[in-house]
Amino acid sequence: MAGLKIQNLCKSFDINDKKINVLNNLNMSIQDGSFVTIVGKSGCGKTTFLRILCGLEKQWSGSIEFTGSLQENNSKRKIGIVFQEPRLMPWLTVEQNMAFPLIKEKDKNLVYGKVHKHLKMLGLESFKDAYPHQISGGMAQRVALGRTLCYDSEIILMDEPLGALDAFNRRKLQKEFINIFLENKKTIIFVTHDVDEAVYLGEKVIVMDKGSIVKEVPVNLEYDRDFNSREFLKIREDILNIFFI
Amino acid sequence: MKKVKGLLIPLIIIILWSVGSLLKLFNDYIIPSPWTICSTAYELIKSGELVRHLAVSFLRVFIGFFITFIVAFPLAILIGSKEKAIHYFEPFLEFMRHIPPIAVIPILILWFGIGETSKLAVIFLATFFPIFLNTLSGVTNYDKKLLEVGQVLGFSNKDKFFRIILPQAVPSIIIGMQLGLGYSWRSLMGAELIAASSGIGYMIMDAEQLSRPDIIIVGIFSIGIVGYIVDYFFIELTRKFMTSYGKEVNYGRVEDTEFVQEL
Repeated sequence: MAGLKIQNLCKSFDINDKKINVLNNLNMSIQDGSFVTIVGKSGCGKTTFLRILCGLEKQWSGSIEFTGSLQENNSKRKIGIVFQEPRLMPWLTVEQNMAFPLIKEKDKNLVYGKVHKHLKMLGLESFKDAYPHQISGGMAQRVALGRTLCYDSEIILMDEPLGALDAFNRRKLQKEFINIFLENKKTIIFVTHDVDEAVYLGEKVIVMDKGSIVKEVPVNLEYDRDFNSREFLKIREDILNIFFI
Repeated sequence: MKKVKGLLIPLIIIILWSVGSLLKLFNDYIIPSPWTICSTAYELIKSGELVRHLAVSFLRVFIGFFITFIVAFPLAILIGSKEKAIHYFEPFLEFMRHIPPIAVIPILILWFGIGETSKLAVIFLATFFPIFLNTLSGVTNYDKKLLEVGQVLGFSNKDKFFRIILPQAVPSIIIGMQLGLGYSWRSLMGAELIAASSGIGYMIMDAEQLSRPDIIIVGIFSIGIVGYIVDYFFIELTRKFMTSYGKEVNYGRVEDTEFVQEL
């Protein structure tokens, strides 16, 4: 398990010879085994931030340090990500997609055990032989989550994984995310533009705007949270006020 | 039902042809009647001549296609996996692509004679591009978002290629092979018409010299029928191969799929 310490993280893109700063001196620390949500408007740099963390963006400045156990082995840190769209391999079944991160694993029993544990956990057992085009969007996103869990990473990044789902599936998966977090106690960094979702899921909500952190809001409420409780609404309002005042 | 619908047009043509022949609307020398064609076909089959010529042509296509595949496929993979390599090959390949194989037959005969080599060379030239270009397009036009999945999972370049890029290219590769097979047949017929001493194209050319339009038509029908059968078996074989590897031949297409709704 691991946490993160990020200092002076900057990233810019050159578009038509014009330098556009996407992240400006980002500083944050994420505790080992915590559930952090990052909320912000579209284009505030939250996706870029996740892409830097999982190694998909090169050329940035600043420092990213892992904290927590295994610190001496920094280069071997595993970070998994659930993208906004499931990104499943269309030629593989649900089961094969979940086993995808384990292709190098020689011990097939171990692979089978891991995959079936997560298939069961996510309620996908009866669809293990289905292909991605045969399952619904919500199920596909669950398979993507299962794939990340099979990867057994220390930190799980989630880039608006529920953005394309309907309200019912969204609520169902939000609950599943909380259960997974409580069961595994892995560090989760969850990016969303939905303030309700951010407050419902996160132990801490980081509010981002124009590439910077505007505020960090701790959410000291027990899971499963009530969307209509006074405390919940208060936190939600505080965050919304940041954007609208 | 689909197959019955497909028989409608050939059936109409045969009826019109038969009626025309019965009413003596066509000159029998130019368009022989269907029954003349049938009896000629029967004689050619009985004497073994048709089968012998077809077998010769079929073997040429098979060998030519095989040689082309083992050259074009790895070359496309190699060029496709090295981004900058295409710049060296592109102008030459683009130049070659525009030359119809039939136009190079005279020079091939000068170089290789009228033996098997010149025919295989013609098949190679005709088949190379569909296989090469479709494989190349398959391994270069992949979904980059899927590649990012491999990147995050820490895959090596080899794994990224064989586990993510190549499987995505399979439908494109199969289309290339199917097109290549069709082109092999066509180009071989061209080569056999110009210079050969056996094969179905030679049989047609020989029949022209003997003023036997019935044999010409039997030859033409044989080419069409054999081409159709070869294509059919190729598709069936591909489907079997794909399912035996746990893959669906239809992936990527939306039709004929059942949706399993969430429980």
